Amino acid sequence: MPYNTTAIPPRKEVTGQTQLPLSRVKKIVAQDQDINICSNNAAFVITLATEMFIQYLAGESFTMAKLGKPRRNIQYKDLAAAVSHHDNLEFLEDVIPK
Amino acid sequence: RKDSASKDNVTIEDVTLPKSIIMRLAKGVLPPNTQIQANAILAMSKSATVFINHLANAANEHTQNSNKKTIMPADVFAALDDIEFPFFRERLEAEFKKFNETQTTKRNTYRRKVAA
Repeated sequence: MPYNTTAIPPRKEVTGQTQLPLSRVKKIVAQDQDINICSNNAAFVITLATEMFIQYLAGESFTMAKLGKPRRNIQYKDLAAAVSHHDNLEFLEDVIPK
Repeated sequence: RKDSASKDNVTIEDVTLPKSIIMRLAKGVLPPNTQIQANAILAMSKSATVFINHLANAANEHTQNSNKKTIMPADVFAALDDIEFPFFRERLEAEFKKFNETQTTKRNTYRRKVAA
């Protein structure tokens, strides 16, 4: 099966659509015992926020890959470096240890 | 209880995001011909799942503080400040507005069809 590997750049116009599956995101949210119900609309916002987050993390990791001797491939250590450089990525310290 | 049973029956596929879309989203912000190592993609995928829980949890705090049970978009928007991603807010609000309009149009078209 041929895979679609086309890059998805951040959109310029507002479409109100997600790339990641909304149903999957709802299931992940439902795993949390503390959460009662997540409205469909809120799940949409969380899904899009997650897409923006992936792009934020990729961008910051690339910034780390360019430091020193610039590389054109992103490695695990670039993600770990991004996590330790940004306060808002601190929650990933256990997921991406150095 | 039924819902606790369904929580146990969740498979790994159910709570993993599709790797190909993660890869494509990531490549969307990188210059062409930038490669991403396999374990870097894996780390991004794990991070995305953790981010969902991180954001949903912060949103749920707002929901509970207002004595509600259902997380609403306003709770998520407010939570972005708590988790230090306030710069996501503007675009998310615009996208949500559009999403909501589309849903409303769909609903109205359906209602008109049913009424006819």
